[in-house]
Amino acid sequence: MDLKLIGEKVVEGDASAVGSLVRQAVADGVPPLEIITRCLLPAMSEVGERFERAEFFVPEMIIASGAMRAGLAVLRPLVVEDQSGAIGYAITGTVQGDVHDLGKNLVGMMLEGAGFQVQDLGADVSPQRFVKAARESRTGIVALSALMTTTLPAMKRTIEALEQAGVRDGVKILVGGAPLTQDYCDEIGADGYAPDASSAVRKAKELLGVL
Amino acid sequence: MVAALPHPQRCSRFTPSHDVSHRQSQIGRALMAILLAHVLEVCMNSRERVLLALDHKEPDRVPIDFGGLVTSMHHVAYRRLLEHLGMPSEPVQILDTFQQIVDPASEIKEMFHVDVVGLFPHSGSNYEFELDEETDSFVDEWGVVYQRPPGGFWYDLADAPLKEGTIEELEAFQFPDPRDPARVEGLREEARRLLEETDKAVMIHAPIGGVYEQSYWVRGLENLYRDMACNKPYVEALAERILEWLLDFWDLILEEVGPYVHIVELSDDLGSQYGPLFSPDLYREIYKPRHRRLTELIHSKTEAKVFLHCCGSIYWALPDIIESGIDIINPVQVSAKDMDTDRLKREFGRDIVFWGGGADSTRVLPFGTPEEVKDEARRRIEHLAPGGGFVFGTIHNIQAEVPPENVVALFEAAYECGHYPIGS
Repeated sequence: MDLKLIGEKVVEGDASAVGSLVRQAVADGVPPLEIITRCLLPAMSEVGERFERAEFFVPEMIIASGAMRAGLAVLRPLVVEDQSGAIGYAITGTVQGDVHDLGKNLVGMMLEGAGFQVQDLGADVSPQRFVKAARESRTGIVALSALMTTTLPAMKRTIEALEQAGVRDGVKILVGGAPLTQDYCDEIGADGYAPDASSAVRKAKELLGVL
Repeated sequence: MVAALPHPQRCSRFTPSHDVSHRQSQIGRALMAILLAHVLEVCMNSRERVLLALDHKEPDRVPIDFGGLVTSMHHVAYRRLLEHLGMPSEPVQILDTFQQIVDPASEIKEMFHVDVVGLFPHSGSNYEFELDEETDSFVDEWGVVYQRPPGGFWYDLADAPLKEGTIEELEAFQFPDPRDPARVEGLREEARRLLEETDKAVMIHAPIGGVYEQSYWVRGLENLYRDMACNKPYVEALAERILEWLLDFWDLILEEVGPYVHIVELSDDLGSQYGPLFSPDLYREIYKPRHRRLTELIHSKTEAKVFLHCCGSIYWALPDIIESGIDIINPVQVSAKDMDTDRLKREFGRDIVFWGGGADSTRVLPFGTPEEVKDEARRRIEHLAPGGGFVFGTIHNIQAEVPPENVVALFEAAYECGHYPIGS
């Protein structure tokens, strides 16, 4: 089969086609890792580029990410964890007091699409939960999201909690969300700011040095 | 035909010949401008001021709005403001539970020189607001569940009633009755009272968002976005049913209060911080024609101007919004991409009224100093006010963390810097 088709269906956001094409490719003997690296990851990179060129918008990003996940769902059980090809570990969450998770979910999906192993803590996440997850992972990205100016202080509190728990230095903190700016990122001592899901991937890779 | 230009020599006859008289003349002109402004202000009431501005003419000063559904203040910031002003911080009238904003006291509105007053239709007769204190949540008339996270500042969409996203489910879904007489009970009398007993411009507010916004409230935001990408017929069917509801609703409302109101408030957010939330083609195909149908109905029933609250970066949509029959655009979110007020005024100022634009509400208003707030407000006024077509307001509701000093500075600047001619 033509492996290119898998990528095309990811970009189109056709989850059921991606699922069945991936299953077929596996049955044809294509190594699962090759399907991830040759089909799924380049497709999500294409989705990010189309978003940046204003050809894709949030709806297209959501369904493309869903299609990518449908492919990963087939492949994950087939690849041994340490050979999954993950380029890094990322914890995502919307900070305490803020339940808005659409942007955060997109960041998570795009990170996954770029080859990160993602642990999503959800929305309205307390600093303590971020600390617990970061302590367990010890490494990688901690991505904090906030939609409102009123919840920005919770972002700062989360970073302070990571510092107090002694896990701050082991991770790279990425921040994003509508009211965020590079200045605020610098002020609260985060490592990187990204204005959208696509640039979040670039920034995360840059922070971990996996460009 | 070419209009005759004033003869340059005729002007030069009045040019003072040396510095002293030139300065005297400048001072004299400035004094005259201030005097004229005060005389005009005595002669011009709030309503006349707003109506002139909406007619793209310069009134005595830029009209000011504060206290509407998208131009008010979170109760936490409001209580702090009252304390700062040495006023008792209780009782506070909550105007909208979901946003936790207040109906500011009349003393505050007077202090801020507010020129607009709100009129609010009622809920349907079958609906009774009830807050579940255990989960801190409530259900609205449409079956949408709102919940506030512990320590949160307002309520958010927690559960939407349209779960399947099928035409069958949509057809079976019971919308509340848009023509329920309870919605207008006493509304005509209240509108008439506002018209007769106040000198403010009367703005009637919509109880729900527009065709797009209400679609995501009843379907869920992420679900609606999936539908947009995969099931456009459904998105259109949902938009059509909501439009039908809005047409019926506004027909009922304006039949009652059409002659008494000056502004009809609608809302449909189209922008993210950086541009369209969803494809402009989809907006033009599905939502724009329905905005047009709604404004046609409203304009056929009242002389009031149509106000659209549309957050985010919407430079790209403004020509379409103007074509849809919208007269006023709010909140002019200056922090978003392409929302430079100077260019907006230059390109669209003849065709649409800007309402809001006060000061960047993501950076300057919450985190700046009072001086920075004043500087920013002055700059926005200088951009947006010349030639009329501008009503000063906050960029969306003032949020909980905004310091009272900044709120006072904002409205002081609106008044002090808003007298025409701008910059005098």
